[in-house]
Amino acid sequence: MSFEWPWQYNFPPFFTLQPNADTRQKQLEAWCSLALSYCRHHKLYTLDVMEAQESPMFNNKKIERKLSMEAIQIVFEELRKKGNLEWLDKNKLRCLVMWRRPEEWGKLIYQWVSKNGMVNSVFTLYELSNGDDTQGEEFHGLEEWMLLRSLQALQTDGRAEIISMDDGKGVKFF
Amino acid sequence: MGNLFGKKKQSRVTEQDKAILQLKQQRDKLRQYQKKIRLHLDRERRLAKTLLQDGKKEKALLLLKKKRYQDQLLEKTENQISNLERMVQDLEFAQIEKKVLEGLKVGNECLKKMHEVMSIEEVERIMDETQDAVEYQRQIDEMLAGALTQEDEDAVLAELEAITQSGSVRGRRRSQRCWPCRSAADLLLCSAGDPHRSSWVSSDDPREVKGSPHSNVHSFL
Repeated sequence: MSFEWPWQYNFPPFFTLQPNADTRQKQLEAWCSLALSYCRHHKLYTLDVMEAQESPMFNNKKIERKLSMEAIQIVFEELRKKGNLEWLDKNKLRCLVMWRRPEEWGKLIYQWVSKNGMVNSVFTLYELSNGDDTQGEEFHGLEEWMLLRSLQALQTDGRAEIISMDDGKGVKFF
Repeated sequence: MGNLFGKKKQSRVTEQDKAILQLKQQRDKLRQYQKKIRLHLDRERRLAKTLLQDGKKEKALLLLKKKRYQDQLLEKTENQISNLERMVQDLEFAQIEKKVLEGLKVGNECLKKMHEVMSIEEVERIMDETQDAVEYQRQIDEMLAGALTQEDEDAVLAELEAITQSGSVRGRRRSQRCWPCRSAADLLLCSAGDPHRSSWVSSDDPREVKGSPHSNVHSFL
């Protein structure tokens, strides 16, 4: 299934920051949703701003337009305000994208666990994100930081407890 | 509990959980190792193929020997993984068994306590008391239903007789009129059925009211 671009993607002015405040707000909204759905479709969890600029997400080769670095930073800042993005470094070059909030991931994982009657069992993080049993689940291939956050969300709900051991972490569901 | 923040609950992770986690981590490592070997094997097979095509049979043979060794490694790790998994399952099952045992223990204790409350003597006493109560209730029922025993009836008739013997002539005549009433209850019916009579008796001779059979029956009932 290929990614479905919004109509704006083929609209050249979309790639230029609009001076009018209202129009710019709408433009930013559209970019935010585009970035999130792009990451969701390609299961991207960490983004490098430089790479992102060259990727199809911000670079439409067909109409030969790409979003400027400045505009990308603005879009990302907007996403950060919404809570979908977190910077990994001070220079704002790399970031974490959360197109699904940790609580939602936690819910998905917990659903899978209870559906399979594995409540009260212990899991390694590797097992959850890369194990054979989770093959085909949405959270398969989830990056460890994201997995950890969703488990932490479950932990605050009292439905899981993260176990830290010398080499690696595990989790027990309740 | 009792930690600085007072917020965190007591950990629900047991030592067994940690042991299971350790085993599983070990298994994960083996799995990753397997992945690595598999990739290696694939690459070497392709390499061997190209070597053969290039006519370097010796090298290809060497490579295949290496590959064979890694195949064996793969098999070994597979065995180790299944060992680990069996261990994990055994541990998990032992935990379940422990819980079952705990459940049985609690049930047993509860049953014991209940039995302590219900001692045999107590049950006997209660059953006796119940029997007595039933008997008592039966007597009440009998009384309320107004069923008199033969003895009672005899007593009533005897009393009536005694009264009529000692009563005046008029009183006797009146009592004779009532004579066909067979039981005390019938007597009551007679007097209730004729309201004038009782008023007549009292107005006729006030002295007689006390001793009249009718008033006597009333007071009896």
